[in-house]
Amino acid sequence: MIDSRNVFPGPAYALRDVTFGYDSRFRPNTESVLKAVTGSIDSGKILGILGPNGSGKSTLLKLLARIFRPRSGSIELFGDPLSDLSQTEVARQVALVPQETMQIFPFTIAEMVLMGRFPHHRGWGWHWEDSDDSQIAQQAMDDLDVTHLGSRLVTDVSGGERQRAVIARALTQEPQILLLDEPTAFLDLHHQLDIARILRRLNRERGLTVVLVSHDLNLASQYCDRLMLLNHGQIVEVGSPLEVLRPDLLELVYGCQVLVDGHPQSGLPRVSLPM
Amino acid sequence: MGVPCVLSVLALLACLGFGTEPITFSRIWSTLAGALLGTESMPIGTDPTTVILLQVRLPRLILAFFVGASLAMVGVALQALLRNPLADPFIIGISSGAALGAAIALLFGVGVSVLSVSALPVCAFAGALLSLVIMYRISSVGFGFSIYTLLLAGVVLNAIFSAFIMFLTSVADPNRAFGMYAWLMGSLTGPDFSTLGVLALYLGMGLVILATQAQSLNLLTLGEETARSLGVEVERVKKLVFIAAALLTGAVVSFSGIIGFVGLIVPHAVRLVLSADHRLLLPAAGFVGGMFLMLADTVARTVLSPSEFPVGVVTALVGGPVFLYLLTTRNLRVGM
Repeated sequence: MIDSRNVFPGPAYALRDVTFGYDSRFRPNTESVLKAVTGSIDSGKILGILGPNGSGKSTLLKLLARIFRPRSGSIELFGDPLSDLSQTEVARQVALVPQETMQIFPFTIAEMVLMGRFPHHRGWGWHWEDSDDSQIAQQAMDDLDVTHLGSRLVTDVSGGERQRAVIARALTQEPQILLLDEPTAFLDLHHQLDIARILRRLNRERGLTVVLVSHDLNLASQYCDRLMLLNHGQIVEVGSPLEVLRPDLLELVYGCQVLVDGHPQSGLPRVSLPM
Repeated sequence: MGVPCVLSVLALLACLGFGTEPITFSRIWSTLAGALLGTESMPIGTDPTTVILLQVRLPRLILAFFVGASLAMVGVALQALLRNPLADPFIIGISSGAALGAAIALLFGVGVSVLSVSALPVCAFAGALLSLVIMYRISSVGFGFSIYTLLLAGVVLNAIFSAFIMFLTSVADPNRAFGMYAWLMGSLTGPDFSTLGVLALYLGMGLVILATQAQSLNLLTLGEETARSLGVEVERVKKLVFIAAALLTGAVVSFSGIIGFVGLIVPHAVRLVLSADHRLLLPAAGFVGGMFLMLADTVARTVLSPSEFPVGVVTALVGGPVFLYLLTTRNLRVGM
């Protein structure tokens, strides 16, 4: 599949002075969660967003998916202001894998994956997927190795299987950009490695831009091309794993002592806690 | 969809036969065929059996079908919107909101027609919409989303609306108040075909809106944020579904009072047997809900024949235990 967006000369996202707070009718003027964030996200790369709890990582991801809109500032997606695009137009280019997938109704894995075709449908809602849609969903399920789970209920599979199915649904959107909120948080080592390898393969083979939020500094170090370190809603540092995972910087942000040495295979930074 | 449709017609034919005056199947068939095809000239009012069938039982069963179908589909829509399998227009207080609106219309005589359309369903619609909005606000405040918060809020909302209705009935003149009580219990007595026509108009509007949102409802079950990331204009969908649910509930309550639990048990059963996909679930729950209420009403008017009791008694006796069963089993487990 040749992707016209891959030849876009600029970055996938450009952010300028993005500020956001969780205001509601009951609690207006809350403190900003993101404060004047300015930066860009390269197309065709894997970016890891790191930072302590409450630093604004997930919030930033939701702003990129247009789930929330900034209080002020602007976000451009491939040069178009995000605020000018409809929810559907964004969903055709950007897919989000949320931290947790809630489901209380008995949908099957195959039905849930097929829901990824929604942004590509036109007209008035009573739309049934055609064979092209099924083929795209089938390909995604093959890629994520969940085809054999197709007829199982979303509520009846393990956390790792459900996470893979949700990524398959995101790929069924045929996005240029894949956003993931802690994709490995609830998974065991084996499944963590699985997901990380799948993401790298999608990135290398198809030029998929990947942006992932993670608490796992070591996984991010191994699998991300670039890292963005957030603290108190501001970007502290952006760069390669070597540039960002420095002991002084991590101690400043996380407020505890850390040890950084090299990974035995790749030599990339490896972060350990002191005794 | 063919199966529930055929079953509904069969249920209708069977229910027509039961009553104080049992009527044989062949008689039902010939009378209906005669009326539909116009082969039998129709001097209605001459033959008592024909009158019972066509002017008493048939309109009542059609009303039961409309009411049951609407309540079941409102249940489906609310459950998706609130992501709560226990949401039912009766349990979470939407029906009593509609009843309050209708009671105000009845007792203050707003019931006179506006542009030849009775103001009663309009007031019931307003009441239903009000309670839906209150309910939605309650369920979206604060952290997390608890199934039980919604139920508790529903109990309280029901109590408040019931208190208002009680107050209104106490100050009203006794003749009107008695009619109010009978109507509040949920009854399907005495519709004529023009009443059914008005009801069909309201239900049609609600149904068309819901039908267009079926796929969006599928995505909303994943949570509002995920639905948004998949391209659903969540705010617009919510507004449309609220209006449709209020239209259906308002119309149903103003014609037949408060009938509970249909919107709870029918969607649950259809999901288990058929699918959770709202493009199938909505119409199938409609047929099954209609069928269920036709049967329930037939029970209500034949068990103590020749006297009868409100159909709401039957639905509560069936639905209440089902509700308790759902509340205590793993069916509420939330997949994470």
